[in-house]
Amino acid sequence: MLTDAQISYLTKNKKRDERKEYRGLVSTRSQYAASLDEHKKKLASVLSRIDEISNNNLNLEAERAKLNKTYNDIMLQRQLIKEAEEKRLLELERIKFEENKRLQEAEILRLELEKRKFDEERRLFEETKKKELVPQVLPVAPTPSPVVDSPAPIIDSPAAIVNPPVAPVEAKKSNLGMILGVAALGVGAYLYTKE
Amino acid sequence: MKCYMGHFGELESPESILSRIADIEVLMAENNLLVKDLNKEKSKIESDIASVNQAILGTESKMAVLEKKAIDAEKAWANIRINPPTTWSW
Repeated sequence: MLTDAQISYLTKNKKRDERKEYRGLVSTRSQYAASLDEHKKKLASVLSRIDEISNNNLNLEAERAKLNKTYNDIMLQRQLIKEAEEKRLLELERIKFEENKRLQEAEILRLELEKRKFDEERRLFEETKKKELVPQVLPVAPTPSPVVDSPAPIIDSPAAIVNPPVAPVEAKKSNLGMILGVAALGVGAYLYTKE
Repeated sequence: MKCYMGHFGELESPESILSRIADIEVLMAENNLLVKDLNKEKSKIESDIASVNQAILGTESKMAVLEKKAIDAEKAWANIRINPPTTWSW
């Protein structure tokens, strides 16, 4: 059997242990709470950093989009300039071609004119040649001189050089006949007078 | 060929623009890696917080038990004072 004093002592001891344990628990809880605050601060810092980096990435993304647009604009501009240059070169080629065609047509016209002129000159030459040949065909007056001593025809026209007048063989033959006839008459007259 | 950049107010070539775009992409890749690491760290902190919260709950539970014990003891003592027992048994 315990006395009241013993019971009071034990109860006090038990109370003291429980109080001590409770104080320990309170301390532990405080430590946990401090740790929790620290973790929460860390988490806030991490979240803030993530937000900052995300915003930075968004800005970079916007900048990249702008640069891409600028680059595409430049390339489009280059393409347009290249196409315009090609078009200009094609136009130049076409103009050059037209110019050559015009020059060739002018050359053809010039050649045709020259041909016409040449034909005209040739026609005139043919006419002149015909006119020059007609009197040479006519029989010349009989002369006592031999055929070999007859003077050469005077050649003064260029047409005569190209086509020299053919010696009138028939005319020569007729002259010879005349000469022979005259000689025969002379011989006959001489014989007649001698008899 | 040069182009006008309104943002920087200077002439810039397409090659330079491409170089800047490449730099930006490198920075973005680095940022993405950093965000990935930070997300890992965030997950770990959140896990730690959950653990601490759990520990706090455990401690508070123990404290509640002790508090209840103290209150019960107080009540018992008050009852004993009012109606003291004739004999004590332990």
